Amino acid sequence: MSDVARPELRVVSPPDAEGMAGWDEVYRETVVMIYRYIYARVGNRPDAEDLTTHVYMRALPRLRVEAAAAEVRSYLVTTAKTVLADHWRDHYDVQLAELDDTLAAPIVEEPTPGDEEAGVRRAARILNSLPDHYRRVLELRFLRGYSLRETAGELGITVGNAKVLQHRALRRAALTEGED
Amino acid sequence: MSNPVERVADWVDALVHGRRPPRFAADREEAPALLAAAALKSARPGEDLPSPEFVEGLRRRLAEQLEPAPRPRAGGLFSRRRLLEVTGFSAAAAVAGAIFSRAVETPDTPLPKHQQLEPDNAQWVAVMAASAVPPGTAARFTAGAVEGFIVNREGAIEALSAVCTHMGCILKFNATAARFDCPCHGATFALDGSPGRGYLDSLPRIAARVTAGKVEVSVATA
Repeated sequence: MSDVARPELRVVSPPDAEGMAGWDEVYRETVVMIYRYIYARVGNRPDAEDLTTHVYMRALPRLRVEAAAAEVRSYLVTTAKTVLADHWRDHYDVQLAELDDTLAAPIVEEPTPGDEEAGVRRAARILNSLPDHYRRVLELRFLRGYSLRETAGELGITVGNAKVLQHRALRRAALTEGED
Repeated sequence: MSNPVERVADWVDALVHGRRPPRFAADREEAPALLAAAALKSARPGEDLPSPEFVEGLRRRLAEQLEPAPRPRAGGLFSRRRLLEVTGFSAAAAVAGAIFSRAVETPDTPLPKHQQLEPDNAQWVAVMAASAVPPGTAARFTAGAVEGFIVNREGAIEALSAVCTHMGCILKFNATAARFDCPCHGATFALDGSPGRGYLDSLPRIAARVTAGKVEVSVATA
């Protein structure tokens, strides 16, 4: 499976291409990868859309359409990392560089071209690594979209305890992820 | 609402309900929990896919930003040094070009039709017989440091720089398509020097005239 050659991202405009054709192609062939990479690191659509917009507004005018596909991808990912680092620093006072031993490893991890399910797999890996009671509360919240009250009801605990359990589960998830 | 458990719970609530989460200065205990929550939001397949409306809307915004032609690099006339910079730039430079070599300037004025190359210390030099360039064709010339084309557009004789405004390669005249092709990266220019791709500068124009059946161009003396 892994040795099946993936079609290379083609970013060189045909000689007759006019105007935007080259940029358009770069955009269409990378936007889903970049959006998902960012989404997995902010967890919500409004921020993911804003940051994806920043990445392309910043990167596209500086890219040569004739650059090799790998170079284009690499530059877009580098820009995405910078935009994410700025986001976490400006809004949460978090220096991603200082979190290397916890969750920052996946933040700086490269997306694999063509591997669109990396975020889903990573989330599943985090959940599967947790003890049952932690996994359960996070599955109810993130996979089923339960409210805290519904989660508490399902688990037979108080809302206050559900909050604490969720908090501990997330901290444990962060540590587990950092160990990979 | 001041303790970490409450702050993280509110943050996760926003994520679960698809809202933009609250901002706050996260301590070293909270930050990893927030990042873990962000990662877990992708657990539901398809959750992390962009909406078609967003993808198309951003594409339109980028098109608006990138489509206007950039201004030429220098305003006004070219000095002799500038002339040499423009025309002396070799194809070899293109090979060494870095990926972000060309930052597009913010376009706020329409592209002038052409920059005119006017060397400080110019003189008229005959480069070919006018009859060598039938209407609708172009012919290469070299005069001093200048690499150019003599172009016959409907009987009007003009001269253009033969140096691609992208990375400095020497253009080739494509007689079949009646345009100039760049052998390096595929850029094209019409016979009036306008670029096939909107973000490139037009080919600079060189002063030219016909005297006694000869095409003369104005170039710097050595």
